[in-house]
Amino acid sequence: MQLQVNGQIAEVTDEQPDRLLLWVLREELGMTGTRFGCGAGQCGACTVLLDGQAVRSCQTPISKIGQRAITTIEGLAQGDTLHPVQQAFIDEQVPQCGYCMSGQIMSAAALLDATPQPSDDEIVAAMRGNLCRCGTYVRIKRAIRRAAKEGA
Amino acid sequence: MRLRRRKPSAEQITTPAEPTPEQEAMRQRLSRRRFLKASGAAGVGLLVVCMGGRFGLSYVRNNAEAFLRPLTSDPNAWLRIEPDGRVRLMVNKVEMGQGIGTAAAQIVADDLDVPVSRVELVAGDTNQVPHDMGTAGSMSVQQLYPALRTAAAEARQTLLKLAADRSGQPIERLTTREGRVLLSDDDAVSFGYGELVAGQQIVRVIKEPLPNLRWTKTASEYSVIGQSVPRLDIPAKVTGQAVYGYDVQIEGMLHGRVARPSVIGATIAAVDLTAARALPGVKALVHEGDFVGVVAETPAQAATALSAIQISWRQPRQLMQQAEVEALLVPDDATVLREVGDVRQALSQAARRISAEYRTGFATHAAIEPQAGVADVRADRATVWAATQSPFSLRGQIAEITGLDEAQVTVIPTLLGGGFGRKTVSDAAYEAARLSKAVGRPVRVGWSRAEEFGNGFMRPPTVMRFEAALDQQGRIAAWQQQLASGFVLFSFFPAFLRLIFGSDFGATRGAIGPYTMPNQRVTATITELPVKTGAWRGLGVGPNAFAVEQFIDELAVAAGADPLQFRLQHLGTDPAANRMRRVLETAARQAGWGTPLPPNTGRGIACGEDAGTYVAEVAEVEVNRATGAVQVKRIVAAVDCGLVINPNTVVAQTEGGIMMGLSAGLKEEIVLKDGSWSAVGFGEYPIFTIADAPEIEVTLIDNRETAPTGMGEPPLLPAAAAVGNAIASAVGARVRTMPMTPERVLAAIQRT
Repeated sequence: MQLQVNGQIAEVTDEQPDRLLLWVLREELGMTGTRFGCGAGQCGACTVLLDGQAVRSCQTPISKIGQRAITTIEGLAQGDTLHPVQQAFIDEQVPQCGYCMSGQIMSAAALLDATPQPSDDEIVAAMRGNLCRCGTYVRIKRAIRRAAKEGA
Repeated sequence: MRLRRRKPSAEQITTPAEPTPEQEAMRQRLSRRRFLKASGAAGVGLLVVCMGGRFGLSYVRNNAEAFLRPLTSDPNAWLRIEPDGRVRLMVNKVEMGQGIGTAAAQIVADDLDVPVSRVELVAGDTNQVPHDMGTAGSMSVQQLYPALRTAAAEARQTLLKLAADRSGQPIERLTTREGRVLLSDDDAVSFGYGELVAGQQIVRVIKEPLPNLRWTKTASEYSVIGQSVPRLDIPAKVTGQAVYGYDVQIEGMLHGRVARPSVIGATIAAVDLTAARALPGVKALVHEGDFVGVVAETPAQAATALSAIQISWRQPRQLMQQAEVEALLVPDDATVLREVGDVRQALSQAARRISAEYRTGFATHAAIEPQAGVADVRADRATVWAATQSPFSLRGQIAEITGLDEAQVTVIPTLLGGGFGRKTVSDAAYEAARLSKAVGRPVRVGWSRAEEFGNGFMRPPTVMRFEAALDQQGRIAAWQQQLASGFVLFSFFPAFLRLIFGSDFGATRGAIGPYTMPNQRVTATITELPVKTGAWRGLGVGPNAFAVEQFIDELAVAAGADPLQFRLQHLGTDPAANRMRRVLETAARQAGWGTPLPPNTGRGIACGEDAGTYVAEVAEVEVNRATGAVQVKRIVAAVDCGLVINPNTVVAQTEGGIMMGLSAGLKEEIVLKDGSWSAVGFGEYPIFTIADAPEIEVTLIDNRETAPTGMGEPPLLPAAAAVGNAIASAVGARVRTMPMTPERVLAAIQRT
């Protein structure tokens, strides 16, 4: 079975097609940037993009993906140029422990792709499924607003 | 182009380097010192053990040792100046989001006079870095600051001497700037640090206690300390390159899972491994007493095999229930924490007495990264990778379970996806070591979220009873306070250590407020509960301040006084009181204390001191009278943590501590029901989301003449109480149980 990951073709075994994307990424492809937090779609740490939409990879069987383009945190930057959200997260010094950050950044990237100038309510609605135990929410909001301004 | 499986890169996973001669000498010195300590206190460390099971035994003994051992101050253990001028800084505190590595680099950069960009952090393993008690207790910057400044100053002096010898110039004419030694008045003589040390092996040893060495700079001369230097660990955290304990992948590693008891306190009656043994990929099945584990080639195979193990569990006679456990908390004055005057007499003479009882429940850490560990146990050595707050303590436990000497064990700490006290105990790494030893291959154990909820130790429930009296002038005449709590630190201390300390100072932390009164009695009864309880961020400060800082508000209300003024009136005039006064007034001023607010909106203030840091917070909340839902709109904080190494990091720690304090104050509770914990996922244990987050404004007090104090926990202390006080201000209802859920807020409103 073939998966499109960050613009490249990944060959994965098609035994057990109900295998979840999160584990295929982490264990078979060795891409650990997409994090495991709960396995139940409740924390958002595993967020990746499917054709630009934010999905929880812990809830996504690979059999349901088809031809859709998977983007993970490792594929967000264009060469050496960080995505505006990544840059904003550095400029605002958002991460503390950083474990939730891949998921936060992917959700934020999807939001800004769909809604380039989101209102505060739209930011909260899009991001409320991404938990941060270190409590960086104030800076996440600020970074998303900054990325909206600077990435535009 | 086809994407192939990536191998773990060399930079991401450090394999333990061969020890240098100096490190080997230090290791032998430490072994000798431990031997001397143990022989000097013969038998004392081996007394009655508080926790059951081998894991409990080894953790207790090793954590006690780690706690008692002093911090080394050998600068060669801290700093290494390379021939190319790089300064390698051995960081022995782990990075879990508090930015300690960057702070350490800043401290060294200033006293050594190097650009911060030239300092390379070595987040080293237990062979490379100086011994450490563990990253906890808001102690990191307090411990590192004097040690690193001394080490950097000593290194600089050494470089000056080398330059003096090399140039023939008197040392008084030399100075340092940006990694070079120069003549103060003439650039003709100029040596880079690297060229001064190249080809030499210089070891400088500083005897403990740290000498009165003149540190290079005074507070007004800092150029790096006090700057918001961008955190060195952040870039990798936004690209996904950061490697956490859960991510560690070693060539050839197998995957382990361990069977969990059906209910708390269940023991194994019978185990049938037949079905599991027949499954594909199963490499080993381990059954030792109450430990049953499986090792397989893939995580999925390990999970399947685990379910196929037939275990017959012997349930305890009675399944544990929340009410029974809470009934064990009786505030009956086992230890007197403070006594002033004669409280009983003052209360009996009082015209007016005010009493209240506050309660808090169990809470869990809920770090987003669950437990994981990778262990490679061989006949003569063991290597363990884990997101651990206590690498040296873990090393001791691994040595015990494998039968190796500590010198043969290396613990490599990774970045942590949240610690909060939970990762001071690395269950998964311990289990991985056990399984690796059984199977003779590296084994990884990664916990599920359900295992994370069900197999940790909780913040214990508390009861705080107050009885107080006001005098005719509306000042506090008497204050009687009785705390009951489960263990916080004593869970991990052997009996002799508990005897030395007397009272579980983790549980009583924050119990005594900063207020003065003529008659006061504060007591505590800290009880070992039949479920595991332990250190949760801040230890006792959150639950204790929830009670103390609301009760002082209740007295203010009874006195008809403004809660801010009432607090200020009851502070003394010593320096500590003045620091508290300053943060209170600053937070209040910034928050617009006293200005009008819309209906059902209120402001509350709370303050406290923890780890040497003084914090005051004002909460602004809106209460929905129909549902009891509380929206925190804004928190204004003032923080005095002495010298601020990195303002941005200190503000971040303030924001994070507040957020966790609010989450615990309003939402978090896990309860015992029929022998199990009530949550297996975030659905049953909601924590604050971005939708709950208030605006947060932080003012840092300039107190640079005081050495830096802790920031990991203090900001959490006042948060819940400030919100409780704000609720009372908004709707006139006092909520005395934490978490202050909508149901409880509504009930309090209905009681008014």
